[in-house]
Amino acid sequence: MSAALNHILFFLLTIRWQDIADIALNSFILFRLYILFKGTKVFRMLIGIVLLWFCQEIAFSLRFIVTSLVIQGITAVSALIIIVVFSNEIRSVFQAKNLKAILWEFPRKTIQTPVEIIADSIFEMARKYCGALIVFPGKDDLKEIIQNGLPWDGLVSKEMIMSIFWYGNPVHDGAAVIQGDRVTEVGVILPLSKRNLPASYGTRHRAAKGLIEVSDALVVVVSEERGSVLAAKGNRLNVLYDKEELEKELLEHAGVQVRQQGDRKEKLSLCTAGLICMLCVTGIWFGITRGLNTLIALEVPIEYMNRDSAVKIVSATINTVRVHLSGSDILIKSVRPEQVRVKIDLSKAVIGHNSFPIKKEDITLPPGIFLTKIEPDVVEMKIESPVKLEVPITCINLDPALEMINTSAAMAYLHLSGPDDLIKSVRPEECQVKADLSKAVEGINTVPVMKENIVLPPAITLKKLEPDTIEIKVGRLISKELPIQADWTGKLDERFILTEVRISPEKILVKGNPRILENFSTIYTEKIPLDNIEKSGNLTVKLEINGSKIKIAPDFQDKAEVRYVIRERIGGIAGYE
Amino acid sequence: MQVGMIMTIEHKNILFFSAFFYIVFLLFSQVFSQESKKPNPTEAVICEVVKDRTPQNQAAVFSISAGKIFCFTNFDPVPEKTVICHNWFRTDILNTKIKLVLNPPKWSTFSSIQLRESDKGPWRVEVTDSDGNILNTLRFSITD
Repeated sequence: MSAALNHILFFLLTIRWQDIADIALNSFILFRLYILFKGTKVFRMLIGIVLLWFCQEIAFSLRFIVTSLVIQGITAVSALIIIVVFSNEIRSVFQAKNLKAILWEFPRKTIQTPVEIIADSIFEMARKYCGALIVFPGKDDLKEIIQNGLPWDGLVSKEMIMSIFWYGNPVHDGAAVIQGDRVTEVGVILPLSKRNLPASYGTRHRAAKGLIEVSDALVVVVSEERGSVLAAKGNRLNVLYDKEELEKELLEHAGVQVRQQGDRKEKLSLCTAGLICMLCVTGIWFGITRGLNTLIALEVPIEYMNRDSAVKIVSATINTVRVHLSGSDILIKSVRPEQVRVKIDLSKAVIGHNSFPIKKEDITLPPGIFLTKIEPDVVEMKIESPVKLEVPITCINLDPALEMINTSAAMAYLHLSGPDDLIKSVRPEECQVKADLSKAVEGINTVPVMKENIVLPPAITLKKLEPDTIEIKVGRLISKELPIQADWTGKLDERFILTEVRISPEKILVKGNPRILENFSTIYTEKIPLDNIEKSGNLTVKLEINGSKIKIAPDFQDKAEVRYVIRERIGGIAGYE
Repeated sequence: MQVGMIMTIEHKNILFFSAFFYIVFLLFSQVFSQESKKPNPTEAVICEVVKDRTPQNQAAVFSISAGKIFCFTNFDPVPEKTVICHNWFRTDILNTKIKLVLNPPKWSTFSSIQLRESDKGPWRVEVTDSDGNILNTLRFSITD
């Protein structure tokens, strides 16, 4: 007993608020569908399909293979037929009502039909033995059932009804259709019933019976022979003896509650329907979520969240975890691998070794699926903070007769790792990247940057090098002897003239690419200021070759001695003469 | 017989060498005659003024305020009428090329440029003959 109680208690504890909301929402949807389609042929067909499905389940449980398959096929086809055949009814239900009516309102109609006038007219015709056949459509669409109607669209009045069915009127043999307060069609031909009817019933009765067999319309028949009034709806044919009975019939057909007792009955009926809907949905919910308990195991990749962009996971003991799941057969079968995710929060990760237990909260599962086991339940990883440095590439061992013309990469990117305290203080100047050009020949050379040619501070290791090869274009150098010329600047005192300049050495040997050297005919000195020069003298000045792509030959210096002679000007400056 | 043969061989050698030396002499005389037709530069200076066919205020540095400078060249001898060029370069870029006629027996000639603010910097004038051979190079600077 206590075990059963414990089981119930455990069961109740496993129900989440989402499950209750789920059942309530679906019960409401089912109830609203019942309200909207109640009394229509669609509803009857739906009931039929549910019964078929139920039969199919029973056949399946009894291992009736062919029966089960046939019913299954019929059920599937019936569902399709409903949508195709009753598309008009389904559309009219959703089109005729607004959203509030679909979601909330109950079918409490305010009647537009002038019931008293109609009842009065019908009994007046009965008294005069004037035959009549009047159709009051329900929710079903009658367009495809009735034929040959003449559009009338006249306001209902006693005189009009009586004149329609007056024996001299060409349309008096057909039926009149009354919708609301209007006679919409007259002279309508109704389908005749093929069933056996009492001999006293004439063609009008057979037509009324024929229509109610295929629709939810109310048909009132006035017998021409006996002067009796008969109301036909559903499966019943009621003989009415007075106006009040007819009025009640008309009002009930229009959905208006006539009496308090009827109101209570309707409420009870709605409550029962609501309860049945809830029980159905609860049953389906239990069937889906608490059906046969099935176990599966999935291999799920680990996702890392909140990782500091400055750190890098160097290694991890596992990349995937095996997640064991349980749940009902239906839900387990519908689980897709991408719905199960394992996310590890790395916000608290530190540089070095880390151990993260994989908890239940780290695993995202689809609703209704339960986690039973995680294998392994711990992931260990090494996290490092790599540093990226930009270091110039130095070319070494190039033949002196050759010159590097251009390179695909002047800088290398070093991805370094090491102890946290050291790695942060590494500067580019402490690192060297050398490209060995000892085997370079004239033209384009692809030179690998070897790890042994990379110099790093102690305890720092290279994780990645970008690029690991460079393309270097190498050209042969030529020598050329060029004269040196002084480049004077500033303003010499107008009293003096700088008459003579001698430079030692007069010429200098330079090396460079032939195409570049072709354009050079003079090597200039640095700018020599004239402003303070008043007498002859000599200066040692640098040669201006910085920035140019030529080099001074090894035996020459990058400077020259300038000897100059100053004499006093005789007469004025030419321009002022 | 033998003596006769030796004599014949000696005569042939003398003739051969005489012809060879004659040809060499003709070639050299041709070259020297060509060389002697080139004008000989005796003076080439950059100066502020040329007055009475004489350069004045020769210098290696000129101020923009001078307004104009001259390249004066003197040739002696000038064997025949010929053309020379004064090529004015500013920092290795040819700025002006002026053709000048030389007349025998000797000739002085000059070219000049107007100085502008943008002309400041190192200059050189290459004096070339009609074949483009550089006869002289004069280097100077134009400053404030």
